Amino acid sequence: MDRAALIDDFDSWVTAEQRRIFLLCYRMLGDRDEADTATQDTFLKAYQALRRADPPEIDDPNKWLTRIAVNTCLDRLRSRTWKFWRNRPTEEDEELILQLTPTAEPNAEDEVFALQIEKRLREALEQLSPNQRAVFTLRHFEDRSLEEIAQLLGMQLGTVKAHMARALARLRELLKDLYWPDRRATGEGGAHAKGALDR
Amino acid sequence: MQKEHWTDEQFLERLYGLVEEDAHVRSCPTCQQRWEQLLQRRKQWLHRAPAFPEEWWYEQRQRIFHRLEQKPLVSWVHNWAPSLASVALVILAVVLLRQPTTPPTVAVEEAGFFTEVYTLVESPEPVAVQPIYALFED
Repeated sequence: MDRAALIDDFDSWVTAEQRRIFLLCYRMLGDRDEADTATQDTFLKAYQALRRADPPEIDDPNKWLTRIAVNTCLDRLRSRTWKFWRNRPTEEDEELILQLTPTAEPNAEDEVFALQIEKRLREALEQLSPNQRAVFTLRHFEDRSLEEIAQLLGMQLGTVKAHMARALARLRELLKDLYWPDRRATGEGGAHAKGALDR
Repeated sequence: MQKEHWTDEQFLERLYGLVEEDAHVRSCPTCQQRWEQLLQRRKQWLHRAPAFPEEWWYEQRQRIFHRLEQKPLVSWVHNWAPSLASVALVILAVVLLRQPTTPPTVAVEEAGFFTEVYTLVESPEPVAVQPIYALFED
């Protein structure tokens, strides 16, 4: 899609990409209002860039939009250090965002557990640095390859791997709970997982 | 070939792209099964979508379109207003700090003090003698 077409059909593009961009922003920022503003900023920046006299080269508009969104969120995360008065997510926010609908039909216990994990994951993401958070979010929620993440963030692949390794080190226990929930019930510490010998 | 099953950590690192799958995982039915279960569980998580009401998305689109219609200057001012306010505060603080802190009267007091000291030094008699002289004056 060329630049003129993107401008002409900008409304449709917003409608098509709005949810993905908002979710990405929400997962990076962990706050609904901030994610809302970041989503607006993203589309505004994209629109202004497209209308500039010297517009950027755009091979893949959606990837380009993702890059704008990630950079917008990174700017917000970096400026957060100074925002001591930043509002914490309200209970209403928590409830709203926790209303996630899985495509499968899980039982109630699974659903409660899933909501708990989501909440814990969001809290844990708060502890990561902005770059670690961006790398992890793009991989975990958007399932992007590390090469693609490097391209999106304008980093070397090795740097992306280093950020991912640090993020994994901090989230390891949480991710084990997420992927091996059966261990919760049995209290199994993963004897198999500890590297039992292949017999 | 590695004889040990993969650990949870190795599976996680593989899942997040840090290590490549090795020959053991490909040939070991146990590890292969665990890897597929892990992928399946991940797939379930990835397909979770937020249940925001449709009106919310509509309102957000309206907010976006409203901002697109605004002049860029508004956005520029909005973005830079906190920075400009901070700079103005810093300038104000610098101006206030650079104000002279000692009042000019101090210089006069210092001059008086030095004159007095000079008089004492120049006088051949101690000051304590003056009350005694006063007793003999008419």
